Amino acid sequence: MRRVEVIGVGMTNFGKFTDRSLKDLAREACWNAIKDSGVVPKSIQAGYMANAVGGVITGQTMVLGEVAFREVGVVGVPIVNIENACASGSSALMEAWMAVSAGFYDIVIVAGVEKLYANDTQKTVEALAGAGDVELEMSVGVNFPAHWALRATKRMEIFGTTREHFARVSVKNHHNGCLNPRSQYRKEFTVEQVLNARMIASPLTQLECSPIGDGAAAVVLCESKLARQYTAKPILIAGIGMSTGTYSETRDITFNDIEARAAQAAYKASSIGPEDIDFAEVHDCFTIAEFMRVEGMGLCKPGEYDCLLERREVEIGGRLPINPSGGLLAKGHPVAATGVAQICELNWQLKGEAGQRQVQKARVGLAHCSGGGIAGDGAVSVVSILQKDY
Amino acid sequence: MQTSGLKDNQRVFKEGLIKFPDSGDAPPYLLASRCAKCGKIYFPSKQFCAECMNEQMEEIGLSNHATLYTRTVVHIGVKGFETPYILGWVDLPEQVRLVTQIDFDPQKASELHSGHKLELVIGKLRSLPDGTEIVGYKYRPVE
Repeated sequence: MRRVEVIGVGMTNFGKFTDRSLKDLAREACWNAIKDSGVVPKSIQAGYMANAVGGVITGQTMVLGEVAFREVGVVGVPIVNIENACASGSSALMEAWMAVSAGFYDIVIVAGVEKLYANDTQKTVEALAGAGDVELEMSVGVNFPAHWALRATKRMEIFGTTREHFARVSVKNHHNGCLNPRSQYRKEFTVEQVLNARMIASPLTQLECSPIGDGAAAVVLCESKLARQYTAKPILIAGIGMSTGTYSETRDITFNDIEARAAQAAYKASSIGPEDIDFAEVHDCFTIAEFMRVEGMGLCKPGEYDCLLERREVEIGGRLPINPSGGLLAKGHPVAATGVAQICELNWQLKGEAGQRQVQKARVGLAHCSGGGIAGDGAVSVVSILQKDY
Repeated sequence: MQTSGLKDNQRVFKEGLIKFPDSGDAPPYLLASRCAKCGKIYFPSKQFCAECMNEQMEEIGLSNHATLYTRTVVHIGVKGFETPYILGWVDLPEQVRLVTQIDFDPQKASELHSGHKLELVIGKLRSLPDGTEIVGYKYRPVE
């Protein structure tokens, strides 16, 4: 196993870009990542392209990676296209990390891109619903807000979590989003505004659900010794772990064991434990999801996240900032771009380049990205741990 | 599959889930399969048991009673479903947990508690533009 570093990152702003294509968004993110890395495109030995619903929305059903990487001069090398719902980007990162770690390549590029704003919102909604079991659950009326609302109701019953606790996550992440120039939403909300927003699936309101959006992100990875030729500030990928659901029918749905398995794999690969994490980007597709994922990864005990919010420990400046970028709720969630954008954020935070949202003295960051939902369980979960390596 | 309990303009959303007994008086029930070797029960039915590599499966009917595990009132729903509607995870005695609509007034959803006793009801889930009713399993509180 060789050590692998992030040596360059790039991303577009997240938002509504009706006049921009998938290729156009990917080109901007990839070019910025390549420029940031200092490598020339010809020295990149492989490309990994993540996209979830571009085929349905734009008609680019295949070879998006070849199409987009060609734009930035990454040609004549192995390129693969990867789909794993909302975890597509982090799944691509893991594949790339394993390939460089194993010695197949020294320098690779990973990109995630998504375009959800199209002329037909219904089409987008139906495409996203494809991240579940379309044959069974969608047919009886389950969508993603409902999938999470069912857990939120159970959590309130078991742990005494209140709607105000859920709303605090939205308030926190929207506040952080205001400090991030790439964020889709840059507006503060109060707990009351969150609670009084349009109800989507009780107890979750519209301000507790991540928005649809467009965007792209890219990173360049490099073998550790070679990386020093390109940068004095390499960021080590200390370890990545992935797991999928077990769909057990007797599961306690107040604890996300899928996140526990993915995190344990990442902790083992990196020899870094939950107590060593300085901050985390966590897949807050819905407010309730942030509770369950932080707890599932062992960053606090089951049921304890309510207290962390009350004590303001998970805000920027607290003991364990969660989603300093604004998270999916505010920064936005262009599905396959999300996991790669989290790596951009970790890179900037660890290098002290995160501006107004900078987490002080950050040396170890964790990115968690999940995708899909099947039978009340997650479909896939990926945990990546990055470390300042200089 | 017997569908004697259905009207002409109705069809079940997926084949092989619901048994409508030949006798008109007997209520419909959910079909499952049980591994003849390890006893694990699958809903929907499976043709083999991946737990013990066995292909001898028995068809069984599930109990018509269930208890509520958790619920939500859906206000922005799946296309074609009339909102608001209640969704729940319900537990059957056979250790089967399934997600289903709860046939109950959404305005009174707060009266539905975890552990609430429910019974199976077969009914309309949604309508197609041509008037076809898509039918499936739902559960309602026992009177």
